[in-house]
Amino acid sequence: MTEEKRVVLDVEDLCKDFVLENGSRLSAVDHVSFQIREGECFAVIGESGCGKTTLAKLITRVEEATSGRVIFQDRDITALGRGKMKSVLRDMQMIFQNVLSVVSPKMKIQDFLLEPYRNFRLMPKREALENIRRMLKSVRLTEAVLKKYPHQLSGGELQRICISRAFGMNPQLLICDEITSALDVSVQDDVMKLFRELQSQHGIACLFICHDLALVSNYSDRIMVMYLGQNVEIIDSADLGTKALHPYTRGLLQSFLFISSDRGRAIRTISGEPQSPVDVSANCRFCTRCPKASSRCFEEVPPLREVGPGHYVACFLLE
Amino acid sequence: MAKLKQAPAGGEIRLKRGLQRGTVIRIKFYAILTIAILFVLFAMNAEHFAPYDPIANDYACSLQPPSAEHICGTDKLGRDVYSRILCGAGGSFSMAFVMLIFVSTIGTTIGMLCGYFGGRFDVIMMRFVDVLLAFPDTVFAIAVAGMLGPGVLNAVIALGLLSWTSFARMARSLTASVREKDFIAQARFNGASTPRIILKYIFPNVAPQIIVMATMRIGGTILSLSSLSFLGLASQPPAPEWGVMVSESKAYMQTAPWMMIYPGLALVLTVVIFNLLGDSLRDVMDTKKQ
Ligand SMILES: Nc1ncnc2c1ncn2[C@@H]1O[C@H](COP(=O)(O)OP(=O)(O)OP(=O)(O)O)[C@@H](O)[C@H]1O
Ligand SMILES: [Mg+2]
Repeated sequence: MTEEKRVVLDVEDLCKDFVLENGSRLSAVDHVSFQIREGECFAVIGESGCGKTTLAKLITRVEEATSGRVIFQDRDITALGRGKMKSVLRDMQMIFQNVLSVVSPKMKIQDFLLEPYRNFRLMPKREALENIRRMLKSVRLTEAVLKKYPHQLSGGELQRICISRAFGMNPQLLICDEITSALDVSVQDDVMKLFRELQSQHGIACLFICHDLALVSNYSDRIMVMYLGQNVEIIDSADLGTKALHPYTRGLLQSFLFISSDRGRAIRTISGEPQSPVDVSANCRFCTRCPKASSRCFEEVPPLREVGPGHYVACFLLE
Repeated sequence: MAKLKQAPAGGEIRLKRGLQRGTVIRIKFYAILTIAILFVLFAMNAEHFAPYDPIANDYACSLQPPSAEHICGTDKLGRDVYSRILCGAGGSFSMAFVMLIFVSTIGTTIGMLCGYFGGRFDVIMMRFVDVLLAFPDTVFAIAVAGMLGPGVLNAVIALGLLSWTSFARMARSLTASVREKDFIAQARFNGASTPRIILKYIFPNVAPQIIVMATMRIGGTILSLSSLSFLGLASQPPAPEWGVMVSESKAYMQTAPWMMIYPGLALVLTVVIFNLLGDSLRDVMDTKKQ
């Protein structure tokens, strides 16, 4: 069981409000808590704009959290200074959502890949290059890419370069922000297989952000469903189809075609308009679209409760 | 059938035109660059090409009109105008060049620091720039050059005091937009320190535009320096400087117009060459970006 494994990342009650130009507050991440253990692939899914990227940026301190704590390897990193954070970042790698823009257009891939080795003083250049070549081979790219500029490469190639860089650093935690969304479906599967292969090989804990439920249920161990900044359900991937409880998760499952599903079944979509994330009052964010919402859902924030082993749901309807 | 045949033909033509446009721009750029380089090489080694000494007086042949011996005529002191023009080119160009390198370095440094760090330093610096930009630049340069006293160095300082501001503004706005790019976040992630981010990540993305801007300024700066010389604030007689030459010719405008026309033409030609160079450099950069 996963229970015995060491907790790598512990996120407690993390919140992020963006203050917009007109003074209103946009709540992008709202009281999110979860834990990731060693070697686990923890997926975060949710629709566009629900705060997935913001969550990743909070954990990596690209953005500062409004409140809450991030504990990485038993160390609270929410308030670490710049210098100490640098040593933390060595063990935490992130693959950004938009790979096309993560390499400076004026930089060759070789320099880009050498940067972490140089900046963290990990090893001399020759060894680093050897390491880089080995990693490139493992993502099935040739050395020729080293001499190229990013605009000379395809999105898929850049994506694999970023993956090779992240794994080459041998991190404790790898955060992947929609690493497949820029790729077409045929390449997607290749990249994912490769990714899982590398992940299990290196035994790295992984926070995997995605909005593709099918992909996630195939390739991850646990899934956290987010809706407008709130964490609505955490569930084992294997149980997703059968045990999901939150109305939003169920809605997602129904709106999405399992290959195995019988053709006769109607596809249902989630009806209603989502709330605006600006200046929200304390309620369940899903209340406006929830088919079973009661008056309480409009007035209080449902807490995250454990309903089964490793299964958490935030919904009043289940009490 | 006819339609089917036409479609690819049209596509082909469009493709060709697209190809041609980029190539034409590049050919134009290299042509102008060649001219500019030849100009500079020629200007720097003018003494070897000048038929006469540009400074030595020869009263025997003063105020001679253009002839086979003196193709641009001679001035009051009998100096060969053609030789003086040739020898003046180097000075004008190198002054403008040195000043622009200096000014763009300072402007870019300040602009990048402002754009990257923002905050109070940025606000103070940019208000200061606004104040400087409120002065009409020629008047400002004349005032400063007048205050510092005549001399080439003082004229360069007077022009430089204002012209760094446009580099600073440009570098600042470019830096501010590059700063938000994902590759900066990624760089920080890869452990890059702030100085490294500024030098290795921001500067290469700012530099091309700065270079274009500096190139486009060469012509104008040569012209401004000549204007100051004309007013007696920069180069002093007997230096073979174009502004000085035009200034000396004022009294002989009617009797010896060649004294004014040829240095004026040289100035126009130089300004045109460097402005064209700046323009086509910008075009080349634009097509590269696409
Ligand atoms: N710097 C910012 N300033 C203000 N609002 C922001 C900022 N960054 C993100 N937001 C807002 O926060 C919300 C969450 O954004 P985020 O990028 O985390 O979404 P996401 O889940 O990653 O979406 P996607 O699937 O499209 O990538 C959005 O409503 C977005 O407009
Ligand atoms: Mg995102």
